[in-house]
Amino acid sequence: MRERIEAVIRKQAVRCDYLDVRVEEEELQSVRMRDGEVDGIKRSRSVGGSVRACHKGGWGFGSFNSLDELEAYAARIVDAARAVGDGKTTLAAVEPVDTVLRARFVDDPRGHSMDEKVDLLRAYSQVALGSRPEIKKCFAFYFDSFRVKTFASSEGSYIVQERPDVAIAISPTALGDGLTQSVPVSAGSTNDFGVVLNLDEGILEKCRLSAELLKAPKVGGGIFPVVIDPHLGGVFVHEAFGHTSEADGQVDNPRMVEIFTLGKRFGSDSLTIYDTGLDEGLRGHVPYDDEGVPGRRTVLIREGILEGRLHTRETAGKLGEEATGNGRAMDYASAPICRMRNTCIAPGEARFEDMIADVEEGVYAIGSGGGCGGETFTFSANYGYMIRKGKLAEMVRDVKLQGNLFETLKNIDVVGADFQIHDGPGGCGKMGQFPLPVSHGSPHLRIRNCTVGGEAR
Amino acid sequence: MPRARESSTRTASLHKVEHSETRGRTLRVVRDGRLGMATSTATGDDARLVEMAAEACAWGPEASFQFPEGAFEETRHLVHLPDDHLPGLEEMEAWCARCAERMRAFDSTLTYEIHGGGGEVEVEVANTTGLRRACSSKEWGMSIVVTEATAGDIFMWYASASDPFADLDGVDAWMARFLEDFSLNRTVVEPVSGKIPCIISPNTLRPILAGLLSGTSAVSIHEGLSPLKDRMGEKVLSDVVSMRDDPTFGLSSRSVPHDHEGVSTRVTPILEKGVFRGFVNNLKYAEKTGTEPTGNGFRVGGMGGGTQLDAAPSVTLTNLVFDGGETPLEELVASVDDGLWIEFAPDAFQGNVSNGDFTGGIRVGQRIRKGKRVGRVKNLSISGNIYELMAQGKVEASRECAYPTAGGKTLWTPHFLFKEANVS
Repeated sequence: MRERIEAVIRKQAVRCDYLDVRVEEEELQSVRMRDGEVDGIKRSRSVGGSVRACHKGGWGFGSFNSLDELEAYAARIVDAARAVGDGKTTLAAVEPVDTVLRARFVDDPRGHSMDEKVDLLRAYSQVALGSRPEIKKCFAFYFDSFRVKTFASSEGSYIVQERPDVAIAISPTALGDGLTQSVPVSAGSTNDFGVVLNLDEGILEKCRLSAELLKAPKVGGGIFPVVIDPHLGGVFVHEAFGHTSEADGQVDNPRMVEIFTLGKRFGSDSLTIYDTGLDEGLRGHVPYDDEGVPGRRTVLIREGILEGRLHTRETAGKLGEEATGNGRAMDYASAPICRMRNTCIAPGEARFEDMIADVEEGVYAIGSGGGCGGETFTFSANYGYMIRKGKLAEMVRDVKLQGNLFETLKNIDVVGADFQIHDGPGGCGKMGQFPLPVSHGSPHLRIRNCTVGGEAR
Repeated sequence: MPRARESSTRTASLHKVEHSETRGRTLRVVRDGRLGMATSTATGDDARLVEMAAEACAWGPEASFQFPEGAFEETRHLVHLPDDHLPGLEEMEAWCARCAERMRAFDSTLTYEIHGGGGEVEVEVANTTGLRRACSSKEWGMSIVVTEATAGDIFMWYASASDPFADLDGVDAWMARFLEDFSLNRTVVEPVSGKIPCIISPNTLRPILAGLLSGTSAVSIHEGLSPLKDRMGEKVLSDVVSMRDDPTFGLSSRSVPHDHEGVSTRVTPILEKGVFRGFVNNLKYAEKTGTEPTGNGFRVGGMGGGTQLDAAPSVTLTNLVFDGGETPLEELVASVDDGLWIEFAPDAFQGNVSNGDFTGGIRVGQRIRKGKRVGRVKNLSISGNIYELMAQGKVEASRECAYPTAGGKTLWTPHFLFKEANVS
């Protein structure tokens, strides 16, 4: 295969400024279970490739899954790039790399039988369904996959990476009084089947919370000091800030570049945000991105000051900055675009007790029920507690947080020391590419004057 | 075999051309009464595909349903585009260039991105009863997004077209509407919040319907999670709410003669004047709920719910079609003394969907004062419960219906006026 890919590149690279070829093979298996019974089981095999070319600033991209078509596609894609290019190709420089990266497992999911995986899901479902009378339903999902990705470019890179993936989600559901409530358990990894084991205790705790939520009142709307837990903090930093840090939303827009001028203050001294592809084992681990750029840790905000942004080679080139290894593609059929990896708020020094100690009335929001970002963001917590006179008080449901990104970053006044990373199934969606595996992490955060959605009190 | 072609214009220069082609086979096998599934996009891989599917049966669910029976039938080139014409790259380039020209003439300082793309999906379904059905559909779209960023305000305005333009005059007319709406939104006004009247556009209705669509799905009815379980035949919403699943309506990619299980599609009334009349299903949930198959088993996934080869056939609507109300849209707006027109709230599907709850940020909303839209509001969100907001006396529907201006043609709906929506 290598000879063939390199021959194609040699032949077509003389006709364009830049060319890369990606080829992927993947095997995946998944199990869905409802109430302890298998609801669906799937095995899939995916093979395909893509060619991407740039000429005078114009791009051509094509994907296919008959590798016999590689040569023909390469010629067509270079033709397309030549047809639309009428400017200058500006790609940030990267050193050519010739390497093979084998997966380094703690525990390879492929070493465990399907029997074991199905039994595991069934056992978890039974733990949930037998835990409390209110838990009437349990949905469980497991998948593992193993992908081999090959990247070759006209600049001399030839990178083969093995990319395993494993994840699980268990959603116990409590029913009562016309309501349903569910607080899920999830885990994921790129190198360790062990993360899906020994979840019983966590499931029992989520069953208790789901049942208690049936009796909890809705949170009252208003503006409060809000403390968010590490899981929700991670979703916040990904959705609200991470996506605005992706340079493809800034690069051709001088006004956006001005708003995101490096060196500007975006938050308090206690706020540091980074994105990294270096954390082995996390689903956001990206040793080399889909443009052959090595993973690195990119600080976006350091002690409140904007320090960096997330780049593809093109956005970095256009802004005169270094490539950051964020050119990622969902699969061989998708072109690399600017995406996050493991995006985190760095830990501070505060203890949780101290964060709530001086809160007269506030909300403690826990877990993520989804969220969307941008300048105006909205997030749902799984559940929450009121904070009254410095102590946690009654449980509340339907906790939704909203706000303006820039104001909220400035309103983060206390950052906890208790940093945690969350991984699970699913991923990030952008420009039709979903779900791309990502991770996120954060400690507890306190936000002054945060709008809690809900009916006005 | 989905194919796609796309061109992209970014700030006045044609930037990118994409072409993707994926072929594959999905096999469902029943062995010893159990169902297994496997998918492959590898060529010449049939033996491995059969082996994977057969192996999966060992752990698979009980195959409680029968595959549909039939004979060979083929439907090619379903007319989902006027004149069955899928625009080529040169046409799209010309249209993108015209849009760029109009943008520059309007305001040369604005940043914008224009995409044009089309695709053809061919689906063939065969099973051991002898059934073999095949159809292909074509879809095309063009979208534009403009970003106007100033300190403290990043405003994005977008629209899409689903029908190819007849000529450049058609492009001009589309751009004129787009820029007129954009202009209205350039003025930012004081927000209004509380329990207020809100006009819900087709773009906004799509996400906030998640709870109602969940509640009227065979899955949640069977699982007992739907607030509408055991309420068939009862009046559950206002009599202005009538909706049906209609594969015969319009020209969308879901206007197809059969689903991905080979079952013929058909019109399924869901709500008639607020009365719960029915729900759609796939083969599995038809059997579980004791209803006739409705032809709604589609392999979908990813963002936007497009055809996804390796997905199991799930219960999926074809075209969701609402009846219009009696009041002209203009009069609905005129009836609002102080409220909002919510054009885009794309993430308003969050919350406890099973209960019908939703919440989401208002990406683009305009304040209505004394019956007129006066300018854009910022930093607001809408939340509520779809069953409560569409209850008798709490909602009105415009006489006119429309497709959403972004996101395709699988929804046809009036604008709704929620009389007391919670905005904060």
